[in-house]
Amino acid sequence: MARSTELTISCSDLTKYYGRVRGIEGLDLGIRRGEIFGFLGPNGAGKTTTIRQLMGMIRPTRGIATILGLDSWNDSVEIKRRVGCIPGDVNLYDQLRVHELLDYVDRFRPGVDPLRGELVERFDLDTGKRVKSLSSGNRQKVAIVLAFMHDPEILILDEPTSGLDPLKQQEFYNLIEEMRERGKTVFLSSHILSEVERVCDRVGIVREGRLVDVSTIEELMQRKVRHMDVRFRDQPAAAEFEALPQVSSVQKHDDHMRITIRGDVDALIKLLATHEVEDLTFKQPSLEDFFLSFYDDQGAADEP
Amino acid sequence: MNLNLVQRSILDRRISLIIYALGVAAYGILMTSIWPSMADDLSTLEQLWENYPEGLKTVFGADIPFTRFDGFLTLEYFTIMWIIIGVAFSASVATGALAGEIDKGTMELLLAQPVSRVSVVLSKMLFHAAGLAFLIAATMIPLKLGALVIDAELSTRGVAALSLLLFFFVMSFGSLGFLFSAWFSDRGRAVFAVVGLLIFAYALDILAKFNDFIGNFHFLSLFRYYDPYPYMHSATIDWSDLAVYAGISLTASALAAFHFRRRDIAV
Repeated sequence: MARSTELTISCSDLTKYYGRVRGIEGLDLGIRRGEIFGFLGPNGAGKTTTIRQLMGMIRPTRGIATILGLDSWNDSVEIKRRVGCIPGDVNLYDQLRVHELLDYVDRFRPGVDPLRGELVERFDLDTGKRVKSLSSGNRQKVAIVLAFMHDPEILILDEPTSGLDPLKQQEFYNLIEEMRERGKTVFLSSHILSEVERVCDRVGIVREGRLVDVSTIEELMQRKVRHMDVRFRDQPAAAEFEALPQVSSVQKHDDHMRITIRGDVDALIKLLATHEVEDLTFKQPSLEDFFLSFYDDQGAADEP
Repeated sequence: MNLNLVQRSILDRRISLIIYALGVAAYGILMTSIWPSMADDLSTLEQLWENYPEGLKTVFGADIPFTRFDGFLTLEYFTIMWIIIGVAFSASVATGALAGEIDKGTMELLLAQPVSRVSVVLSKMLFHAAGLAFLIAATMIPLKLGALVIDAELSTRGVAALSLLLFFFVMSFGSLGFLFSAWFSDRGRAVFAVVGLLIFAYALDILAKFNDFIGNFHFLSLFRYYDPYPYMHSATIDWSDLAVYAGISLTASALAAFHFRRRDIAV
């Protein structure tokens, strides 16, 4: 489904201080209807603070956040009719069985739970178990069902795959894809770069309480620096690889060559194919690697 | 007001509510069952009461006749014992309602649903009031039935009047409990505040009876307006005392809702 230009989530100078401690500062952001937006940043960057303000859990120190044109603090009840949320720290009612918890949350939106049965099946939930007996992964699955089961227009998800095993992570990504096809808006925070690359259309990068960049995934990929370690049977010259515009550096080690690449890998792969390659590893960068390269770029851009 | 929340509170608290109800009923039955043996020897009982030190009689209520069934119940049950049970119930419900949910982290899940914060507070207060009424009924019905069985005099109107006093009195503690609960994010601190308030009020009430200077501040004690015997004996209702409790309850409840509506919910 094509995305509209209408903003469903909007933040203007959104700021939160806890006493003198900064949560988030001066956040300006607009998320369009039908967009899957990733909010990427390390722990303590201000992601959860932003989500709590969007959900009306905490009051902004300054600025405003709106969802569907409604003030996230003053119109919080109306917003929550149309929003599904997974909080950052999933705390459920331990004394209840899963089906009792689902019933309880259901009754806040009577008659509106079109996805409940399907989600319970997809995430393989045993609804007869008591919540306190669930593993953290299963609790996260319950939180996913609670957020999605009333088929909300907007989903606000704080680190939604935390604790999920790889199979269920994949199931979750499939679910997000379906939401995209159905024109839902998703605001998803994460500290996992590969996750936002995989599911998001645009990414906002937040660090130390400030939004430092908003990019499309394509722009992000172009900017991302990765290291390829290659062991050759022949001994090609480093200069051959350095000549490629995407390669930013080549380091020769005793038994392998480390090629640092930014952006598209097609030309490099084609060049590698002209040599005898014994082994190759191509690791995804960590978030910190990404931030280092990101700040290197910013530093270079700031130089006169 | 949200009936889903009220229903959830009832289901969550049903076991403890039943235990409290059985406890107050059992204590009442115990008091009723020992009264006939005491009534058989009223002269000794009267002598015993007369021999109590004046100070002790003042503390327990010098004008309450120990030799009547309603006086005996007032002294043995409603002067302090029932108050401790009632306030314990009230504090437990009130502090668990808001601070308890914040403490456990479930408030974030609750407030992610389309329910206003004021509605959360009011729904939990409604359960608290209903639970308290149930506890009072569980106290009074066995007492009245027991009195009929042992053929002791216990006025129905008096029982009803005392029920009213107990409800208003404990509601004032409960409402202050809600205020503390709305204020703190830690249930333990809220409980500590209610218990501290109960001890302060009781100590001030006693000290004010012995010291003129402290007596000037007697009005600050919630026990100052609590005099159960006239209610129990002659169904005499002091509406001004009840108005004080109602005023405290309404003010504390309004402040609790107002503060909870504005505060940050952060785990």
